[in-house]
Amino acid sequence: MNKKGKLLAVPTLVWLSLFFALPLLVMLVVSFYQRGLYGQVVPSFTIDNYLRFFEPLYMSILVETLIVSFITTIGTLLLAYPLAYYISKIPRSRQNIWLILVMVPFWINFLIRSYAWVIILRSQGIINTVLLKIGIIEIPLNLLYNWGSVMLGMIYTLLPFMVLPLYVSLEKLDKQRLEAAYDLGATRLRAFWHITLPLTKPGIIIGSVLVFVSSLGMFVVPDIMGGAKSMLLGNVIQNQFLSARDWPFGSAISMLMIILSALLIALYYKAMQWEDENTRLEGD
Amino acid sequence: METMIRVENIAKGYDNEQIIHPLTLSVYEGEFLTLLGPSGCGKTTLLRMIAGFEEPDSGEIFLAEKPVKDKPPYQRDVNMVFQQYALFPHMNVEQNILFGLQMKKVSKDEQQLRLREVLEYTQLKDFCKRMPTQLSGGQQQRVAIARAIINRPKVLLLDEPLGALDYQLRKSLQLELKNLQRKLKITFIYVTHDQEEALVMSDRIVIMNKGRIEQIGTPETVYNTPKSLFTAKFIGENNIFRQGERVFCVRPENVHISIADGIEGKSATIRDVVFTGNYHKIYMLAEGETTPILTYDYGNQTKWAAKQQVVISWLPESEVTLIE
Repeated sequence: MNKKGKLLAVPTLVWLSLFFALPLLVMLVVSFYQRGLYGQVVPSFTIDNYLRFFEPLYMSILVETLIVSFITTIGTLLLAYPLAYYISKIPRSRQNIWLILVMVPFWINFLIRSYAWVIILRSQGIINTVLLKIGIIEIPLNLLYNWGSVMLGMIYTLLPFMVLPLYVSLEKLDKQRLEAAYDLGATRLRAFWHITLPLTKPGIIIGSVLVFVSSLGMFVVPDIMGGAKSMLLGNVIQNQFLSARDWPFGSAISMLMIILSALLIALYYKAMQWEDENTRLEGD
Repeated sequence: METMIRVENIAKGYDNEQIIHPLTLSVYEGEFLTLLGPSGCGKTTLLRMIAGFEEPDSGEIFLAEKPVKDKPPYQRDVNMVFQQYALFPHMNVEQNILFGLQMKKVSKDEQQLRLREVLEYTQLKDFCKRMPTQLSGGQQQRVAIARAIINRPKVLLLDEPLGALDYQLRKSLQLELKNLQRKLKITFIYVTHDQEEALVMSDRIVIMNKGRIEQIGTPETVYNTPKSLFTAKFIGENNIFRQGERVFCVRPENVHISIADGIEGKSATIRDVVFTGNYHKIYMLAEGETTPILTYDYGNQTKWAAKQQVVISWLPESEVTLIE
């Protein structure tokens, strides 16, 4: 690449350095500083912020966060796979309509969508009103502000991140390979198990990493739909910066989360590599 | 000879297009039968209906006298070798080959026994643990064949299995496949658009055009006595003549040319002399005609040159009358 070509990358590089690398660096530095009496950042080196994270209170929040993220991932996978499978099987013209429907929620503000759920689920909400009216229940159900509603919100929010990679994987799947499996005596179920599932593994991994990493840092959904009872890692970080005014501790937790996410993204790249190696055959 | 497959009045259409007009065909046990025709002639559709991937609109398919039209592919005692091989990329060669036996729950001992046998046939012994991506096109093709024949099907269906390979490899694999078929004594139904391939390998050739069978016969029959204009043009090179209502063809090798000095025949002018390796193609224009007449001159030297005046003749028995 010549010099002029390199110049094209300059705006992006400047942008990323200013608004990504630099803040990250600041956060790394701050995570080793101390909190002053009034919540200011005192520049004296300590690793206490990191050690503090390993206290039982935060460990249990970490475990809770991991469990919620894990269940969210499994939930989205179980919902998304049949949908993606269906979309990949219908004629192309109709596939696009379905894919747009999957992505439509992205066009609506995230907060509005979360509050819409509140309107549906709260005690005077749509579901409770209908159930009360038709006499199935006598007192409103507690549909909101519990782990169930948090999980519902998370799965709802992150579903597209699972559907799209799965769809790409399924769409790429060579139909002839399935026919070969049928031809060799596999029933539909066994062909799915031995051929479709293993060959869409990259999509499953990519979707799972996307959903898992996103749920790790999620704080709006637990805030709005979980109420005060549910505290995830994202909420802890948010609190450190906004209410507790403990920037060094907030930074330390953020750094740890970045490391965890980076590990998962490394896995994602492994999966991509695997896919690259295995799609080469089709071009031969 | 026992009939292995009988296709009776099979028809197939998509939307408004008729892919296959009702056709009937018998394939004998141990036969190497080729479905030959240009792309879109319905040969692959016919093969896929026999395999069970497409359902015929009408008619019946009999495999060893038993109707199989309503059976799914996995319940038919036939196996297919796909055009792009369709190997399973996440399994090594051995796992690919054993897939069919595992689906049929054949015992482990039997699996190993048959595996050794087909590895012998297909010379894949040294590649057992390789992944399909690590194989050449020819090797992948062998795996596809091994994966199919290990099931000992009554009929092996092959959908242009050599189409993706280069010319030299294709040539050697043609003979290899033919020998394999003789050894295994399995009925082969082979789909190709390559007439040369069909002539080299087949016991019988079914020539298809626009969803209909044009002619069925041995390679010699379809080459020497084509019934229709389509067959005459599709197989090998041919000279087509029209005399009033009658259409007939004369193979280039049956056209004799001599120096123009009073010999009886058509007088013509040589337009082109083309060197093809082991013979020259000589294109001539007869007086008052616009389609050139072709003949071959064997040997690597030729006395003929463009613009030369010549006389063309052939024996009356070289003329084959055609249906248009």
